[in-house]
Formats: sequence, structure tokens, C-alpha cells
Amino acid sequence: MFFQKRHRNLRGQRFMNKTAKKNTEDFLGICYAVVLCYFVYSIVQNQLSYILSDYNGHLYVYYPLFSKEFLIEAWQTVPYFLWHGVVFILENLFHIPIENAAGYTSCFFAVFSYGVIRWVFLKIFEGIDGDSSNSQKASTLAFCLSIVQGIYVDFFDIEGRYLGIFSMNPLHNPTQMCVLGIAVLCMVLTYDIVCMQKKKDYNGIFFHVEKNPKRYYILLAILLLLSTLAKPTFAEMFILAVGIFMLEELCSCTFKDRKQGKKYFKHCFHMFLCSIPALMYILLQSIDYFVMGGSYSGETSVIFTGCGEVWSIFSENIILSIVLGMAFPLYVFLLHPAFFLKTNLGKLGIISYLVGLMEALFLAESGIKFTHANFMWPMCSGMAMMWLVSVIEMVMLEKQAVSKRKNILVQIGWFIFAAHVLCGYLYIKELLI
Amino acid sequence: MCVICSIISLLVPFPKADVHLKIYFDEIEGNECALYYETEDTEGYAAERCIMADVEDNTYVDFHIEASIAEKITGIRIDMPDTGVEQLICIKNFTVNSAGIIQKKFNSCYFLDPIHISGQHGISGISLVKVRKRAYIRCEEKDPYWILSSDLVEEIKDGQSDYKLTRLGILLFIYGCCFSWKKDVFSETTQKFEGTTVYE
Repeated sequence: MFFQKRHRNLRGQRFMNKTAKKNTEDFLGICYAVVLCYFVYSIVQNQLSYILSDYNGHLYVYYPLFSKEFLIEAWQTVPYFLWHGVVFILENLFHIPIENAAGYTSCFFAVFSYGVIRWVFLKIFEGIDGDSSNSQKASTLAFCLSIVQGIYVDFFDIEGRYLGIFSMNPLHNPTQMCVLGIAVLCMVLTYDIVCMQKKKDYNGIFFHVEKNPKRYYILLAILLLLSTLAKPTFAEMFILAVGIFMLEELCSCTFKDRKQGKKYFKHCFHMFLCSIPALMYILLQSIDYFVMGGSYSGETSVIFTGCGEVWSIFSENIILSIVLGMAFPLYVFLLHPAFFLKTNLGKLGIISYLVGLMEALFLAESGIKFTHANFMWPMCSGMAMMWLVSVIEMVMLEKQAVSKRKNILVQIGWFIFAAHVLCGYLYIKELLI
Repeated sequence: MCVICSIISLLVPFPKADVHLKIYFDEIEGNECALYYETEDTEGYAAERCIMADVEDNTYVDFHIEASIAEKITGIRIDMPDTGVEQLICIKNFTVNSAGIIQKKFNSCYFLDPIHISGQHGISGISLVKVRKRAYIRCEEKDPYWILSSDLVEEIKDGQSDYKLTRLGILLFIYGCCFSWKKDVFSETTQKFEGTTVYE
């Protein structure tokens, strides 16, 4: 009787401890979200005062077009209107001044991206350890990933903390930051779908794709379309990347077994169907931009350039810029290339980055928009995918680091990651001056 | 075979990088500075061999010398802004940047030492404050410039990169990846996600 009572007491105590721990962890996650909001809100308010800043352009030049009289002109100028749309709702429905509305909108999207990344890590920990109680680490990693920037050292003659290196978090740009959360969702959903197509008994890590696959195909199509409404540059990169990924799978499948190849072709077709709404919208945007002269004038068009012609305007050494912007993912690749070349998640990450990189190196807009380097945005999205996958891989490598040598290798990796985070903080500080 | 290819790729002549000569100021008035150059084929500082550069934020000026010119350069003349009034310019330092790296950093007292100046015009005096590592130039109303000595020009030319470090870095990364692939240090255990192996 006594033992039973004691056991019950102990169990109750353990439950209380666990709940208390969970509450503390959740509190930390909320603290990170608040700090992120503070950073983003301050950046927006500070950047609005600079006439050439992206926030100033989007809020004081493009946003005023969003009225009943100029709605078509507004769409023609900014067909990716998700950020502007939310500002519009906050201003007109809640009567919030536009500067504050812009700040709140950016905070909303920043917290959304942070929440999505945190959820991804929770699912990963659940997959590795079998429970998702490691939310403290998930929150920390998500917060760090929300601010990381390329490593910037005075010793190098790079244009600035962002220009020249570029990064997965262009915090000075409202639309690129707006697409990040949706992009991560697209990535993990695609991963689950791709795994499900390859293995019949696959249980989804992030979504329960095994239960009702059709629903998730539709969800992917919606997310891709939503991403084009936020900023089309992610879909421009990602659809092509998934296409290349599936083509490679199709070739290897057909090479092994023709029947399997035919079966896999059906999956490729399904994925293509998912991308149609987004592709149609991108086509519509292209017609608007390059035929109807939606933004600036009809004189601009997409052109092929020599290798890195646009990038070299901002950087004297593109290889060095790549290394500084991607030091952590490159280190993870160096530690375990098999992950990026053999697994679905790794392959999706690296192909996304390479497709983005190729677009940045070889594509540009002609005319006055040549120096705007707008094809760097797909690369920024590709960097985000590669960064996410690299951090996931690092978390998994950490689990394997049982020997001293492996542990040192993993710690070096986290050190590089911390350097990126520190540079992110310094970049935020610079944006606030 | 791979090692031989690597050594060849390191030793083979590679197109050289552009050179950026940057001058950092503490005090300056005016919008533009100019750099005139002489090459092996051409003598004299003529208008067709002039590189103009804006004074950015009143703090520095960046002369972009193209790789083909930097290779042949034999003489450099630096012109300060033509403001029409006398002014005292305070120079912090000079850097030679190439291939995205600061290859050389010159103390202003070294750079403007009389032995490194082969000629000057419109400059009534140069004071070198060695303890503060600053050089002050008193410029007259019109056309202030000074000509660098040939030794200093050679030193600047030495700063031109041929991307050797970048090439070495790429090779090391490729070798590192191959080594890591062969050793497969981190693939002893297979991680499991909800019953599905991640490492196929």
C-alpha cells in the first residue's frame, strides 16, 4: 500500500517536472519569437527612412497603388502582393498607420517562418529520438536559422555584409522574407511525397502523406501557388530543382527496371500537375513584366549572361563569396557527402542550391534592371533550403558522434554555425544604425 | 594522376584579377579623385589613361584598375579633388585589394614618405604624423597631385592576385570530399525516422 502510494507520488512528481520543463521550453520558444519580432520591427522602422531601401520602395512607391482606381496597375507592378496585401488589410480593416502595419506584417511572416522551422526540427527530433520534448534545441536552431548571414571579415574586400555574399535571410527585403516559411513547408512536404512515392510503407515524417496522398498533392499545389504570390523566385528555383531530382530518379529507375520506370513516370506526372498553378501564375507575371511592361517598362527581358557577369558587379571573387555565404553547409557537405548525394533530403537541398546558383550565375534582366541582380533571389531561396538540410544533417551527425574524433568534427561545425549567427546579429545591428 | 593534374592546375598561368587601390581619409573635401597611369607601351599621364573615382561618404576612394592594365602599369599619379580652394587632407591608409582580398595595406606615412614620391604639383606640404599613423597633405586651389615612385608602383603591382589561393581552396575541398566519401566516417549507424531509413 505504502509502495503504491509512494509510486503514485513519484509518478505525479515526475509528471509535474515534465510539465514544468515543457512550460520552460515553450517559454524559451516564445522569448525567441519576441526577440525576433523586436529585431524585425526595428529593422522595418529604421529602413523606411532610407529612400533607396527595399522597405521604403515597397511601402511608399508600390503600396500606394493598392487602391480601387489603380488595382490593375498595382498588380502589374507587384504581382507578388502577399506582403502588401496583409499591410492593406491591417491598414484598412484595423486602421493601423502604414509604417506600423508594415512592421507588424514583417513580424508576422518572420514569426511564421520561425514557427515552421521550429516545427520541422521538432519533427526531426521526434524521428530521431522518438519524442519531441527537445523543443528548447528546436527553438534555438530555428531562431538561429532565422538570422544567420554569410561570414563577413574586414580582411576580405567584399562589398558588404549582404551584397556580394548574399544570404538565406535578406532581412532588408520584405517579400523575400515573406516567402521563407512557405518555402520550408513546400520543401518538407515535397520530401515526404517523394519518399512516399519511392516506398509504399513510408510513414510521413512531417505530414501524414500515407493516409490521403491526394490531399497532400493538392496542398503542395496550393503552397507553391501561395509562394508565387509572396515572391515567385522560390517557385522558379524549386519547381526546376524538383524536376531535375525526379528526372534523375526516373532515369535510374528505368535503367534498373523498365516497369518501375513507367510507374515512377506516373509520379513525375502527378508532381508536374502540382506545379501547374504556380507555373501558370509565373507565366502570367512574365507576360505582364516582359510583354505588357508591368514594372518599369516593357524594355526589360530575361537574358543569358556570361558566368557570374551580374554577381561580379558586387563581388571580386565569386568563389570566396560562395564560401563565406555557405561555410557551414559546405563544411557539412565535406563531413558527409554521402548524405547530399544519396538521400532524398540531401539531394533536394543540394539540387535546390545548385539550381539557384546556376540562375544567379547565368541569368539576368536586360536594360536598367541588369544591375538589380534579381536572379540572386532564387539563389537566396536555394541557400535557405541547403542551410535547412545542412542543419538537419548536423543534428543527425551529432547523434552519431560517439568517438572523440567525431565529436571534435561536429563541434567545429557548430562553431562555424555560431560564427554565421554572430554575423547575422552584426548585420541586424548594421541595419539598425 | 590526380595529384599531377592538381599541381598542373595550380601552376598553369591563370587570368589575373583586377586591382583596387583604395585610399581611406579622415578628412577630405570634394567629390572625385583621379588616378593617371603609365604603361610599358605608353609614357606620360594623358587623359585617356585616367581612372576617375567618387569619394564615398567622405571616407574613401576606390580606383578600379583592370587586370590587363594592372599587369603593364609602370607609373601612377594620384590627383586629389580640384575644389578651387586650399584644403588640408588627412589620409588614414592605402590598401591594394585583388580577388576579394586585401593583399596589401600601406601605412600613410610609408606611402607618402618623400622617398616614395617622385614628383608633385599643387601640394604645398606633406606632414607625416608617425605616432598617429596619419599623413596630412596641404593642397592648393588647382590640380593637386603627386607621382608615386617606381618602387612603390612595383609593390602595388605585387598585390595583383592570380587566384592561386582560390584554386588551392577548391582543390583542397574536392580532395577533402573524396577522402570523406572514402572513409565514410559518419555512416556507421543508420538513423531512423518513424520506421523509414533515411540513409537508403
